[in-house]
Amino acid sequence: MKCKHIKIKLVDYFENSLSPEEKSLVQGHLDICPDCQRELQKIRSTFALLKNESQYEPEEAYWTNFVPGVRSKIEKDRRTTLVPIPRFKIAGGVIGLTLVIMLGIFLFRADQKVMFKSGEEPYSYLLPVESEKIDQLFYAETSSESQISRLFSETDKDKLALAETELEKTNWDKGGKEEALTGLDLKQLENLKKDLEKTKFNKEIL
Amino acid sequence: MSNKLEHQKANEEIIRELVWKFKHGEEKAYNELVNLFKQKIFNLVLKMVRNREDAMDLAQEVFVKAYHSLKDFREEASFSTWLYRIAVNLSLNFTQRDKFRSFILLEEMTQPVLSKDSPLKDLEQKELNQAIDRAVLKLPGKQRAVFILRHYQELPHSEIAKILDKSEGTIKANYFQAVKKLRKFLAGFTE
Repeated sequence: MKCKHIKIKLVDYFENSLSPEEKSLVQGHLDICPDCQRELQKIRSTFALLKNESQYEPEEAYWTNFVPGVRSKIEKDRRTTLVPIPRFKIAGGVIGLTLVIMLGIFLFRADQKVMFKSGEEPYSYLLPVESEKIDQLFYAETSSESQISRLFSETDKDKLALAETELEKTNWDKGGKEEALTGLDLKQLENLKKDLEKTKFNKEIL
Repeated sequence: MSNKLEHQKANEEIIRELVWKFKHGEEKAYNELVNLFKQKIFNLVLKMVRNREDAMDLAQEVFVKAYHSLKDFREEASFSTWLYRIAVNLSLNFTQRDKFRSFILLEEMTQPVLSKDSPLKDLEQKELNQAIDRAVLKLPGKQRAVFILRHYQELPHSEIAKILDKSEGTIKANYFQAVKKLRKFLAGFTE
């Protein structure tokens, strides 16, 4: 048998844990191989050194308090596994809710930015008509009067005309008529008189 | 049958009964299990981590972990095999985690009782203890576990194979490698 096969067995040989056949085989090799003998001597010295290692024995108090110490740690573990779970859940819930809110705000803003960039109407969440008007008013400064007037419905126009008539009537009663008549010459006053008489006549016929 | 074997069998029966009692709600049975194994576990952990304070704490942690897992223990292996496995794994995790710290605190690891008669011998002893601590800690995790279970706990290869869930051949190879490395690490003291 080669040295490398023997060397593997030398520790077991030293500990006397080989089978009788293996032991005899190793012994036979050692008798004729000085290299393996030296190897065995080194193993012997190493174990002899390890035998000289100081042994430590804890004080009696350690052993007396051993079981209570274990029990105390078990209890501590129980408390830490039972108590923090609800706290953890609450904390987790709060964090989760905050994240959802923040995500909502972020998405809302991001959505608006995307809409502006892509040219979509930013007020599309309003009623269609309202949003359209707001949007058109936004650009009214650069639009002509006729374009603005088209923004409003016929009903709106009627209401506007009525409001203007009311305003003119009020101004006329508050002295506007004197001011208007003062600016007329005699010929114009004569014509006005004739027109008024015709109107009065027509009203009486009607 | 030898007396030793009979004694061992009787012990195993007692342990099985205590485990059964604990599983069926008898809390006190666990205290008895702790008392039966506390010294063996402490010695194993001490040799693995090579620090007294850490070993004192870690030995208790082994029983805390075992307590939480014992209800799921299926008794495929013996209780002692299962407990040793927990102790080895916790110790390996600990030294892996605190490898750096372990080396820093090496000075504090070995504190032999100094005698007034031979201070020089005490100093040599301290140096030797430190050298052994360093050498053992330098071993790869599995080799260290095999060496300690075999050399200090004096367990047979077959039992170590069960604890570490490896074949007996692997355990023998690991042990041989561990001894070879220790011989190299401690060469300054042996030559």
